[in-house]
Amino acid sequence: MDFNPVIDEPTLRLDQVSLRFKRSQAVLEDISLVLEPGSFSFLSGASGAGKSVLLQLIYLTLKPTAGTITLFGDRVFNQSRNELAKLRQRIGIVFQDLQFLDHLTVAENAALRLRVKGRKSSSYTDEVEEMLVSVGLGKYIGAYPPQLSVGERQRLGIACALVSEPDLLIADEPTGNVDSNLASKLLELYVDLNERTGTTVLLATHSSDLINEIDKPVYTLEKGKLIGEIEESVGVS
Amino acid sequence: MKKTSLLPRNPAQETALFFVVATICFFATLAGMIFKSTHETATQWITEIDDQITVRILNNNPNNAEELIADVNGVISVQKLDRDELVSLLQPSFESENVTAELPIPTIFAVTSNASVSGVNDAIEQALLNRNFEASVTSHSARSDSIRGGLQIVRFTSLTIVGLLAASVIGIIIISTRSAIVAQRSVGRVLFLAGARDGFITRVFAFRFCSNIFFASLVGTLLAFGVLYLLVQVISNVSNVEWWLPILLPDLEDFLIPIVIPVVASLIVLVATRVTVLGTLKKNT
Repeated sequence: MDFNPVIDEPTLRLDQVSLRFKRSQAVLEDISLVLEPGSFSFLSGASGAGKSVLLQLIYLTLKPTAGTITLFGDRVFNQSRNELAKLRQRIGIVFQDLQFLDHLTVAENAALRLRVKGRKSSSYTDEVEEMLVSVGLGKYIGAYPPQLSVGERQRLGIACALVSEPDLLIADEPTGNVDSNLASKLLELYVDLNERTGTTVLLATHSSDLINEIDKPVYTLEKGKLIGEIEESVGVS
Repeated sequence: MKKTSLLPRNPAQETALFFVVATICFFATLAGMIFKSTHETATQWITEIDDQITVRILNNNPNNAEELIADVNGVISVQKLDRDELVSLLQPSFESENVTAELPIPTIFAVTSNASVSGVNDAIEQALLNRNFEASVTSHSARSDSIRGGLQIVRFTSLTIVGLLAASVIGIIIISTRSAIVAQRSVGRVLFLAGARDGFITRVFAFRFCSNIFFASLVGTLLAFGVLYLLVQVISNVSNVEWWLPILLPDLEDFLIPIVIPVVASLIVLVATRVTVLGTLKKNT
């Protein structure tokens, strides 16, 4: 058997990316960033620094006005909406204000990403339940989202994002609505999932307490500019 | 794991829409059926009277007149009405039977002509005149013009009603579909963030709205047929208005209406849903 070494492309590469809404001042300016496969990084910055906008660019819901985005080795450029949706299926996203389909059970919500991929429900029941157990929602499988607490909703958000085994997980202030104790537990969950599954994680937060809890690279945004990268992003091999 | 519809039910809105669409489809079907039946009956009537000619001969002894008329080009059949038939036709107009017995009743022929041959009544008149018959020839086609005029009014009125109802139902379908999609835009957002393609999200909305409108219009059209059936039943029990029955009885092909109307309504919903959902997605994502 021939041995073909696989050279991993970065999960995400941003080259001098800028974003400007019409005639307004640049929201993001000259952002360059590389996330290696399996890495865990923070994106920090005060409110209004551009963290959410940068995550929207990465999730391909916004187009940069300058620069290039390369996702999973593919340069994002003039792809059709269907091709963008296909790329998006490889990205998990967790928001601070999570939206669920309240008429579906927790398990059905968690299975949504698999359902939109066209998989049959019989083929994913077990893995969805396993995912919910792994995020501590095993006993809420048949419950409905409005019945969950804020922390449990965050866990459900993580389960929803991870169930399809995305190559990249981006989280926008995922601990913004919870107390510090619960925030630490949620962070542990992200780190654990990163180490266990090798999913690349980019976690945006303005909380320095959260960032200081673990030793991971931090990209800091200030007024739309990336002003510092405390540590090189290191992949988990 | 069960597979619940991705679009939550909105019983209040969906029930209201169901009744509105069903009611409009009911009236549209009824108006369409009445138009069609009236049109068919009037057309048939015109065809029947267009080829009818009455020949009245005043001479006392109209020998060989029947043969003369039959030989005219365009004449299909000639039937001489005997005195008893004519008396029975006239009798209701007179109180006393003795009056009709003493009346000088002319000889009358009922002629059926080929409506596509022109000038048949003039040819009959000329043929009879050549043999010194004193005759008057009346073509019934003169009356068909007034029927045609009336028919045009019925046609225009019915088509206007059907058109207005169709436009109303289309408008209601489009507006309600759009408002329902706007009300449920969070569903589209969640699906979009879950990586769903535009086609997937469109199908979720289209399936719900198409099935709702399909059943609503099906119920409306079937109800209209039910009402027509009841009307026929009621009328058939009243002997002196039985001539209505051929007008109201639907043909076999009329039963395609309960299929055609729901399918057309569903197609309209499909287009409206697709345009609205894609527009909303492109605007917001």
